[in-house]
Amino acid sequence: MRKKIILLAASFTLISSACVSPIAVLTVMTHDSFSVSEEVVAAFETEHNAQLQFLKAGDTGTAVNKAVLAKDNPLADVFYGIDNTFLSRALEEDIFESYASPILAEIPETFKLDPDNRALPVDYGDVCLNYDVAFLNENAIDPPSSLEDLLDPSYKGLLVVQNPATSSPGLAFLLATIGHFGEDDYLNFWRGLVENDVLVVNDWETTYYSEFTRWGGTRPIVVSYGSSPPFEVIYAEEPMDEPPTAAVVEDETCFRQIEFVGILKGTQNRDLAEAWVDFMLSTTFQEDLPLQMYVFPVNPQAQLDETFVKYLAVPGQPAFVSPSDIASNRESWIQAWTATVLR
Amino acid sequence: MKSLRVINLDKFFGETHALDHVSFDVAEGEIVAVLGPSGCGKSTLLAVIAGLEIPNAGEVQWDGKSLASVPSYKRGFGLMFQDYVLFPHMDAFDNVAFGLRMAGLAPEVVRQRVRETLALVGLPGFEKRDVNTLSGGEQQRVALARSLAPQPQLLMLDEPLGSLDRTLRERLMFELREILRRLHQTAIYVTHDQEEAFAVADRVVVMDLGRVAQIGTPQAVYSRPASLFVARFLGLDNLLPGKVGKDGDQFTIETPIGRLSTFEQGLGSVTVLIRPDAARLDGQGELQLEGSLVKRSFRGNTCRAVIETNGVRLTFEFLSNAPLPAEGERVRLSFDPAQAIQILR
Amino acid sequence: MDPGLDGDCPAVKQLSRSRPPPSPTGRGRSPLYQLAIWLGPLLFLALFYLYPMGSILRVSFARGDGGLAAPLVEALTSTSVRRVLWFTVWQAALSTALTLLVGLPGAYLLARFDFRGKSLLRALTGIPFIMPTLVVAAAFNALLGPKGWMNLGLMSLFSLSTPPIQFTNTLSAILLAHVFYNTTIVLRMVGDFWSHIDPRLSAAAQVLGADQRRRLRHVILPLLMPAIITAALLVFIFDFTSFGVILVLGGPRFATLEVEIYYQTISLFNLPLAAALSLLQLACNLALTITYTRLSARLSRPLWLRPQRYTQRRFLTRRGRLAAAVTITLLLTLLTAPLAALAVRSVTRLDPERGQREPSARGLTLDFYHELTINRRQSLFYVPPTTAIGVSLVYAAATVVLALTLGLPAAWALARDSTSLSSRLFDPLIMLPLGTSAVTLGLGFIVALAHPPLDLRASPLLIPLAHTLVAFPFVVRSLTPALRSIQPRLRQAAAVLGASPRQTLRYVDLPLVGRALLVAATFAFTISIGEFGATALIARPEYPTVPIMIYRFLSQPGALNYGQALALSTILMLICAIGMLAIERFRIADVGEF
Repeated sequence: MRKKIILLAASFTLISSACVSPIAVLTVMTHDSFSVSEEVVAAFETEHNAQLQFLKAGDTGTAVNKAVLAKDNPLADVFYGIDNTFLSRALEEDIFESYASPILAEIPETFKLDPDNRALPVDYGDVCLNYDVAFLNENAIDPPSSLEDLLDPSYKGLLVVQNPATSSPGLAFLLATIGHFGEDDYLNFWRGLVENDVLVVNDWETTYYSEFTRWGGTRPIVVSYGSSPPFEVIYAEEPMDEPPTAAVVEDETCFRQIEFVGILKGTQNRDLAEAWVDFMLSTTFQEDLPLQMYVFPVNPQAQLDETFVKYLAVPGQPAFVSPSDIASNRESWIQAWTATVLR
Repeated sequence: MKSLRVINLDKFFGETHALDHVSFDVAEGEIVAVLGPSGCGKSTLLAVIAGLEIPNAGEVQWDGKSLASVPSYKRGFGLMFQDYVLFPHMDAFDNVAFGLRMAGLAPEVVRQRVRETLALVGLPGFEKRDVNTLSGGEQQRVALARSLAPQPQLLMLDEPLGSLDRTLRERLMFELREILRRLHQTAIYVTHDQEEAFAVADRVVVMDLGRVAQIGTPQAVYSRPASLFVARFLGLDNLLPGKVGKDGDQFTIETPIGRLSTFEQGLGSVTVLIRPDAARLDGQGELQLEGSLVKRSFRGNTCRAVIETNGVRLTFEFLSNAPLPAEGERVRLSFDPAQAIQILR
Repeated sequence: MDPGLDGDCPAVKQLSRSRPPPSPTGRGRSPLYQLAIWLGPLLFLALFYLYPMGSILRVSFARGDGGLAAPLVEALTSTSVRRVLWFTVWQAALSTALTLLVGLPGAYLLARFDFRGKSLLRALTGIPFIMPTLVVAAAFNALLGPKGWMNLGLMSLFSLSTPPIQFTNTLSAILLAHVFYNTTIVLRMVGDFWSHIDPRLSAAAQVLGADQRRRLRHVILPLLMPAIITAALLVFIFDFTSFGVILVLGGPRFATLEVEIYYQTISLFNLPLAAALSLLQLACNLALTITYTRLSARLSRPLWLRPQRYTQRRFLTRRGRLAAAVTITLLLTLLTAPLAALAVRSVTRLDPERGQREPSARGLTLDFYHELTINRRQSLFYVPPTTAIGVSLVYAAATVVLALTLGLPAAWALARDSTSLSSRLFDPLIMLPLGTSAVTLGLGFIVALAHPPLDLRASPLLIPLAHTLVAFPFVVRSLTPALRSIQPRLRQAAAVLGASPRQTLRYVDLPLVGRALLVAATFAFTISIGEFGATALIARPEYPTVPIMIYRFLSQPGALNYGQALALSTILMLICAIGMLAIERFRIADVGEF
């Protein structure tokens, strides 16, 4: 028993000693899926004689809620990872300080959704339909080339999507249908999908690893990310030439999620926080993004890794819904969708 | 006549031979005590008769019929457990009523019978008492009432007085016999205490290591123990090694205290038991023995003396008023060999 | 029924034969003394449960019109909330009933029989309790999914074209998963209590003419009732607050209150309504717990707890052997077959061959295990599996120590004096954290524990503290029935012999409840090892636990990611099994065979 306690005490000392340091510490709050190279972090720490501490605070929605609830006494100096579906919540709650980073000039206007520069774009990714190439070939089914295709009887029982109320790609796909069909017609489209036997599941993991044909399910078409096919190649068990899945990237079939960074109000480290935001927009960090998180850098100067680009199809024109529309209608859209699709 | 026959019971627990060819009978209305040290198989024997354990071989018969296919709850026997095992979630009434209810008796009959039985065991008005707050003696009586209430054809009692203090035990011992007698109850009474066995039982079955060592009335068992084990178990400690020889027509035994004549026929080594209550101080006995009195202790109306002779210590009992010399002095004893000496092989 | 019928009396009884002293000691101590015992547990609950919970509720309600009334009225009058509440209640009741149905025969088996591999069986049946929901979903899918073994087998057997078993997104999936997770609670709580009940009580009833059915009804069930209702309460609360199972296996058509709270909080950010729903959930659980407390105090009886060597035996009859075989098979099929399927897949190549649809078993591989040790992306957050295991074990050890330290005095106080005011007040309080919305409490930590010296928001200490909140009621519940069953006379005897209350605890209570203590420790260990929700909200990314790592892999596409998740899950199962076997081996010096 005593041994256990000593072990315990020792490990806590170990853990806590990591945060005791004479140099400045910058705390970055982020979501579960955040990842970054050791090198890149080391580069920043050396340059600014600082130490970075990351705080993962659950999925995006949870992390945002935590930041909002802690706004009087912030948990961190910087928050990274809020996307355009949640952006309005943070802006309404006013948790960020504005910061017009000099590097913003290099970044295309389409990504800058907050004119006050409280939230600065860092990266983007697309939520797209993915399909099982071999399954469609075998059954002589063409991949869908538009959302309307999904209503065709030949696609009956082939599609699995996520519940927008509980899943971020699910919400993104709902927004894609709203962007494409408009606020008046998207529910008709969903009614059609229901008739065509769409399967709705609560989370991405279940859709992909339980329902998708590639992983033992019965549905060859799934809502996932544009970057999922390259993932399948990079994380294949044995090297493969062609991805076994592909993304549908025709016009207005995908929804683009843009992720933002912001300096949290009340930070004691404003200078260092600015430096970190600049760093995130700089090519060093931007070039690290694709292979760490499988998202695209917003900075056009960043060079993309070859393996990443090779298997990646990028939608030329994703469906678009303005953040202000999302902000004001999110709840009612989700509720209307729930009433139409689930009841 | 309804009687119990136990025929050649064999029971193993893993390697332990708990019952080894056990046979005996219990006649109607008879109280048989099963006597033996703990671990001798007594409780297992009861469990087998009750149907709680299945024997590996042998049979239990009631009224001439085998009980092998009769489950425990249909045998109609009663079993009073060592330390009672009362149902802790029921009051005294429900405990006693349990068997009656299982028999499906009408509520008013149950009530009537419980009241009678509690009165019989000396606990009138104890119906509503929580059994967990009863004293040891009271718990014992409730347990007795519980096993008596369904009027079992055969009642088995497993060390029923084992957990009580001495005075209470002695009182209850006689009360118990009185109750069983009055009900003309066929009963098996298991105990490790010879006093209890002798006081309660008509006949005694002495058990050792799963085997029956001796069966007989208390008097017979005490006066003629059938084996060294029985003698020792009954506290008969004056045991001497002996060798039977022949002196002309007369058989004799060489012992550390001298040569004794005997009616014993076979030659060879034997154990000689000298009964502790057979020594006389009046010198009238046929056999004489002289030694020094090592120790004497007063035990109420009797007195016990340890006498050393030829390097052997023997213990004898006398009446308290017997003219014994003081400790350390010489004493001369005499015996009547027919009563005092017994040969065990 | 008992090889020990012939046995010598155990020490317990020798001691107890001493006559009770004229005036009972130990009971009715001064209120100050009561308070001293309660101080630790209460301080803990106040600081890490009541304070955060109060803070988040206050903040949440303040975000609405400020009042409590409006959101509460909205919650209580909304038909959709009423529907959710109704579903929550009846699925929990049904799940609990099924869990008892499966668990009780198993509990009997573990309680009354001694057989080879029993410790292993006990450990195996405990593993489901710790498995992350996503992994369990994958396991069930491998077994019962559209392309699972069952469906494929049935399809080829009866030449069907579509899978006959529809499993995912059904009520059956929810029920099965709840049984899968919680059967171990019944096995342990009821089984261990049962194992100390004198088998001669049943034998006594048997001789008095009770057949098996009536022995069960009139003797065994009433005696077991305190343990059964305790287990049922814990299982019910778990099912009532079920989140992952509903979300992942039940699908979007089913929602419990907890799922609704999550939805209102995260998706709609309607904190006032979420807080009202949290209160509603709390009120339900509080009402339940109070009913339970009354019931359990009424049902508990002092029992002669007997050491297991007197209560257990080997199978003797062929029928007994057969029944045992059936029970064990059922338990293993239900509780370990899905996990075995996972373990097998973790060493099987996963990539389907081109043109062939089932993930084909193309031979065995340890690639996934090997891959775990490679930091392919040079990610800052990569940790080798040994580190994750170490972190998990440190948290688990801390939780065991903390939960036992706090739980033992609380259980002791409850057991000694279940009728005193303090006990009646605190007993339901202990259970509350279990019935509390994890989403709400998680946010409460952020709001409340934010100021020095209690700025624990980013502290790793929060994890064992959060785990202890969940483990604490289990510890108390495992210990109380055992402590309560100790005859008061035993304590009185010890007191007469000159033992101080502390010595009585050390030399009488502790050795007698040694077994229950082990059960409590096992619960604390497994709760901590498997916990995901709270850990995910608080964990420092550099020190992830094993479940966090599993989740990281599962949230990315690709064979290697999936394979690594399976490999880590298998490792988690092994750690859990080894941990539980180790706890079983662990003996307090003079606890002996208890």
